[in-house]
Amino acid sequence: MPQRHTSVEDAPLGGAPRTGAPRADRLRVLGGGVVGAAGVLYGATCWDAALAQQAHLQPWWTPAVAALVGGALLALATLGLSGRGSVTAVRAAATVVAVGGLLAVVTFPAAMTRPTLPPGQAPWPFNVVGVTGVAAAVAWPRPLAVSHVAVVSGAWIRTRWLTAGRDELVTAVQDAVVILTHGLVMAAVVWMVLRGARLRDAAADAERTGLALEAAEEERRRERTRLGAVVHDTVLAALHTALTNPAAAPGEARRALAALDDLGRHRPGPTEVGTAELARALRAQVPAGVEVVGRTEPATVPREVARALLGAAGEAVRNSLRHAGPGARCRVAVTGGTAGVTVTVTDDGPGFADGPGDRLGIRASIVGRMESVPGGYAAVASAPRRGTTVTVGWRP
Amino acid sequence: MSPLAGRTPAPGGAGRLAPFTRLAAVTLVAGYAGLALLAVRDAVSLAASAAALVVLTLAVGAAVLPPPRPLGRPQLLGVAAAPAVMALLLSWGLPTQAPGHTAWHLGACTLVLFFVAARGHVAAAWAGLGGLAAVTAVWALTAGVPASRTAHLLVTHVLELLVGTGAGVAYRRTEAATTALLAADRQRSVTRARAAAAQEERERRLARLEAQARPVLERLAAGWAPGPEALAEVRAVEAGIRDRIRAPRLDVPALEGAVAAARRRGVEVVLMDDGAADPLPAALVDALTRFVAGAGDGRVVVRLLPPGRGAEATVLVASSAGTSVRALTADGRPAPTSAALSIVGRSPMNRA
Repeated sequence: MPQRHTSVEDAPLGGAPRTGAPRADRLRVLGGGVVGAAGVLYGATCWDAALAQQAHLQPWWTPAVAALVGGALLALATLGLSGRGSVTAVRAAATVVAVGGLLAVVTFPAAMTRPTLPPGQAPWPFNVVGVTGVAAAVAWPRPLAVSHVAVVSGAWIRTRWLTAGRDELVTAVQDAVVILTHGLVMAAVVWMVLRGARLRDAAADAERTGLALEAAEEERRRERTRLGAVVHDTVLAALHTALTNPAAAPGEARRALAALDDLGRHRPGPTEVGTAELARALRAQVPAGVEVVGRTEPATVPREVARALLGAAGEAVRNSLRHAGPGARCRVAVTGGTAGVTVTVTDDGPGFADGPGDRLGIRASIVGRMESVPGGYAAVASAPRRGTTVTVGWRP
Repeated sequence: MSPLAGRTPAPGGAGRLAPFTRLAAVTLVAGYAGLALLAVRDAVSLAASAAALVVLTLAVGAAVLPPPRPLGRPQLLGVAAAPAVMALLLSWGLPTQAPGHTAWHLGACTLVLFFVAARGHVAAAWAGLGGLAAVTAVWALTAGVPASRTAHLLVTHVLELLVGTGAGVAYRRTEAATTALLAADRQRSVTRARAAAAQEERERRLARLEAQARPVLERLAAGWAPGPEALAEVRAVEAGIRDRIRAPRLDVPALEGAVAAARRRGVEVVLMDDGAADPLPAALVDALTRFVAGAGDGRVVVRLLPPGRGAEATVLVASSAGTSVRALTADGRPAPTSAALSIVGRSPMNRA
């Protein structure tokens, strides 16, 4: 691979690569929520056993375990399923569940006030113990989570054996096999989800960086072409005139200087695009046969907003032409001024009954694109046989 | 999930997720094989247990091990039928008082169905549990097991499948929301990259123009009549600007210096870029610079070629010593003769 020359092409990019793992983080939070909800459900199934065994235990023990593990499970379910919990908070709650579950298993025999439980009864936390292993998989690194499942399974054998009057060892082992099997299988599920998410996060990151590089390169070429045209017609013309027709050189040179001044004044920064220019660009990108109407007052919009509006409106027109059918009419209306810009794409096609939620084109290319710019918005209205109206806009 | 849900596979994912699917499958089969062996102690038939384990292994192979893609219809039918088959094999050997772990197939089947539901095949998963519950209910009726005990036997498995179903649904929703979020983020990043690149390009080029052209233009605008030496300087400035428009990728300081020096020696230098947009390899720029620096008189034409020509650039040198055309590869070395000849044959400069 030859070394690349450091030159004009290696200029820095504006879009810095994203770091972090949004998909893996979100799925870890969701996984915590599922574990919490499952724990609460399973906890409900052992409530009658807990009440029945209360007489065999220190009076504080069951309320303490229920408060610690049950509270943590509730917190985990709320944090994870509401989508508001951070990864740190979910990991913390899952840690409390995992540690609390282990403590419950280990301390159960010591908390007993009678030598044994009634024959055939397992200590009441049995149904919840499996969940604590999955909580460990959500909260901790793999080796630690595996150790947790193994330790809880081993501790359960001791607890079950002791509470049965040092009897029923086979049953205790069977219990432990169930805890170990379910714990490891569910932990493997968590790891699969997280590994898959991390792989897709990495791929998305690479794609994003690649797209940004391509876009930047394309924009550099365009900018070179735009500048090249102006420079050719003014600066080069003036210099050439000085070499071939000196008498005309002062006038040409003044024209070139004015062009340079103009270029300097209109350097793109957080640049603005005029509403009229935006309307012209919109008209230019719409295929023939689509009616474009509108009225603009002098005002400007940020370049990023103009790009989003053009992209979203273009996608709405493409969607309309693709789905509205051959006989349908598509119309674009644009209004712009100091209060903002609105572009409406309307067709009289068959429309659709379901909302835009499941349509990726609408969700990502129209709604997502507009929501990605501050002040941008999008709305889609459609009904069977009533056509479709897509409105995209921006308010300053 | 994409492993879980089986709808949106991770890139290269199946292979990299395989250790976990294998761990889940092996643990499931091994754990329940152990329970099955212990159940034989409780008078469950060894043959029936072995047959049920075979069914379980097949079901695990169909539902857990496959890569993250939707399961086929035969697989789904088989997996959905497996719980009922296992229940038929084992139920009538269970103790009626407290089956406990001798009814190991209930937990095993539910774990398999958890995977089926989480992969998104909710109907098949619940059909499987329905078959399991139906056979268990028939056994309970025929064996005189009270309905409450049967319900108690099944309730945790129903809950487990409920959790699997909910997890699958929540997973897919989260995936869809994240995908939309990332799409918007990608769009933002592309927009920022475009804006930054345009601004950077314009500012850099304007800065060069301001430094090189503005002083000359201001003097010309004021009525300056350059003498022969100054005219040479104006010519050099004009040529440099023309080079940057014609061949922006050759706007590299070392080459630019060599070109300016050659022009001062009286060499006519023409730079052209008909190539793609890729940045030039340093070795090629170095080779081109050497050619330009070595020209003592006459004319040098440097041309970057379009892709697919077997060479990256040609250099035509026409001097008092003769005329030569060299084709160069990306690493700055001479291209194979055939490529060079074909390029020479098509080159408009050659015709000129």
